[in-house]
Amino acid sequence: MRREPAEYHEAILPEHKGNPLIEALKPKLGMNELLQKFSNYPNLDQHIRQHPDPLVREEYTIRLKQLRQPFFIYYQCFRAIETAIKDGYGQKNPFSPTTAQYLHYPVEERPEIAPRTGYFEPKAETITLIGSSGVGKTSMLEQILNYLPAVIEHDEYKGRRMEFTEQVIWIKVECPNNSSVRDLCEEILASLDLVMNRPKETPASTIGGLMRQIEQRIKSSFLGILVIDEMQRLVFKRTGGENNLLNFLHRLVNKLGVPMLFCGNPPFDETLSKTLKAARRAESAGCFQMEPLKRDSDEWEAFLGELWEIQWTSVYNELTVKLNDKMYELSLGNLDIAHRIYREAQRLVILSDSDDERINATVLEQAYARACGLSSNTEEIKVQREKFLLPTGNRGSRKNSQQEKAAKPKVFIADITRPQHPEFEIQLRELVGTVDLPIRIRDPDMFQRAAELENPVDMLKKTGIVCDNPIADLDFI
Amino acid sequence: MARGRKLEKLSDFNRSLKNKYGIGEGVDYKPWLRVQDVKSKKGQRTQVWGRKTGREHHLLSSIESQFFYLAEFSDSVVDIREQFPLLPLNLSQKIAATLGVEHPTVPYSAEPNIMTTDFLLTCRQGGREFYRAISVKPEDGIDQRTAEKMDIERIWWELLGVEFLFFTGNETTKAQSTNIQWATSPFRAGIQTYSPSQVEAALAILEPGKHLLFDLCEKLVSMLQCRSEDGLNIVRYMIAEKWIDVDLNYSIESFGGVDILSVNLEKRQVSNGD
Repeated sequence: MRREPAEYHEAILPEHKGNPLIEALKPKLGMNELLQKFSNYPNLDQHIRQHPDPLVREEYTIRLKQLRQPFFIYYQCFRAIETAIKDGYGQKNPFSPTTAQYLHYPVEERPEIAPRTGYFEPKAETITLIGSSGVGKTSMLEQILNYLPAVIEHDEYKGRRMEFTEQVIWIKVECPNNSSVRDLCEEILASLDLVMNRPKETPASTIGGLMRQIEQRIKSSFLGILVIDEMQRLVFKRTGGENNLLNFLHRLVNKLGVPMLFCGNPPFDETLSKTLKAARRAESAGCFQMEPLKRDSDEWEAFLGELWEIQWTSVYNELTVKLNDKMYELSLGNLDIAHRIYREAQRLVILSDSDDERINATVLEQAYARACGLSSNTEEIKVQREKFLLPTGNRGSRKNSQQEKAAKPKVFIADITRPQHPEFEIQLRELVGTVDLPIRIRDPDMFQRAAELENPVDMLKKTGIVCDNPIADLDFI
Repeated sequence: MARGRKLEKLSDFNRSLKNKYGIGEGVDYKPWLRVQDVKSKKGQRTQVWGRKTGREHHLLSSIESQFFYLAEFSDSVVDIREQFPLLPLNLSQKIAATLGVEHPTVPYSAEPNIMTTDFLLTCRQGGREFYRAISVKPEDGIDQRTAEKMDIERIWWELLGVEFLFFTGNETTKAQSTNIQWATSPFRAGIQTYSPSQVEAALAILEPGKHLLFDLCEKLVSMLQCRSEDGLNIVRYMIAEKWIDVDLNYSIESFGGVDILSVNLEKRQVSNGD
């Protein structure tokens, strides 16, 4: 929630000129500049790669979540919001008598005499944003909305003192679970109190009173846009009581001229299309469908390219086409899942016993299983992980050395190209990397030579490799 | 018995690993190949309960079983891991390439196969723990291709600084193994044991020398006042638990006699409380 003192820029449209609410908004920016603003690339801190403590590097993977890679839809959506806000404010110049009357009288009780500048004509549009969970709706809204200050503080506009000093550009609330009007009203009220730094106002006890209260507060705060997230919770339960909430929202739009943005998961568009009025209204300023990214889209390439660079493994893992494919196959273009897989993959290799911090397709698969808890195997792995972390002291006669090892959280990567037996791991890793293998092999073909002989075992016995009498032999070193 | 796993592609191998085949130690170890995973291998496949490991061992041929009994009976051996996979795959491939021999592949699919070593023993002697890798083959079983694979295996372990041994078995080891199997089989899975007082009583009777099994059993039954079938089992128990050392080089069961080489006096004194 950001507050900024007003800084006025001359409006572009003549009808917006002289309207401090509009002129206090940020100057219009081009697409590239906007996308720059919406992006966030977390700091890599290269030197951390060399940090000796894997736990430190693992901690850094938290930063992965901070990545915001804007797409074209960010720009489109922002433009729609910007337009809706300006359009909404167009009718509400605080210096006009129309606005004075609008502020003064409740919508139903305005006097018969029209102000010089005419009655208030509510003008508000509604934007809808639909997309399945994890495609980045909320991240996008956050990025876009946080670019705008939540509150602009006015003082004087061109020498004229302003009566209302605070202009709330946006608030974001969540649709209540039970589609209750009261809950939504209370939430709107609380959000307004919060952004305006006011003590919490007691909600009126009756619905009617509460609605008037809300009306008054929305008017006096000059709310620019009301964002309602989780709209899929709006369900039609019974005929009659069903669209009370929807009606209430319509009223806000129609009577008060507050633009709105609905955001929800896919069943929500079906809910809306049930009533034509709702559907028409809901897309008046545009309907945006966010879909998982396509594998061959520029967006995916841009996103994964950026995501992949954020790594704190001791070796640099290059993004190959194969890995790219694997990431897509596992996440199916869902950004949240991709984030989680990649983070888990890094944690896996960083925390594993081995120093081998390469990320390959197998690691990604395993990370997916762990991070996305969908298959039954995953539960098992989780349980096993917990088992590794818990102290094992009460398990009785198990070897002590094992308990000591358990101090470091063990992570196990099922990959046949990695050493899998901790007791040989250091040597195995060294052997995989070495180039002088031929020199170290003393007798490359002992068995092959023996196999050519009539009686191979006789020859082998001379080399001492044959174990003739295990009971006795094994007790000698 | 569960159906065998499909082990043909690299993804199968990774899934196996994920399910913890081929890794772990002691009671947690699961062999890379189980009896139900191997179909065509000739020879006797058996599952034997390990008295030292507390889990079922998967033995894919009679020569493997023979070696298993002998290794388990050896005092220095503390853990036995059979069908131990040689991982990572890229190292066995690297060794094969260095030796100029072909890496084993999966029949039908030509994908590289994971090599295994028949037994990896964990030994402890004088407080020192070390490993031994053992390849087990019947004496007539070394053709050129087998030899190539065994060379890869041998080099693998030599590079790791682990002693690699080759076991083919002979008449003596066969007799020893049969005897150990005979002596220990009632006491696998830890179901049947005898109390210290019964052991003590039995130790009082058993003297070094050659005895007929039948006589020994008669004596034990009358002394210990136990059921007649327990007489033989006590003898077996004394051998299995090494209270007595017997000559294992001929088949005790078929000869019907046992040659007690020594009675573990230290143990006798401890149980007598002297």
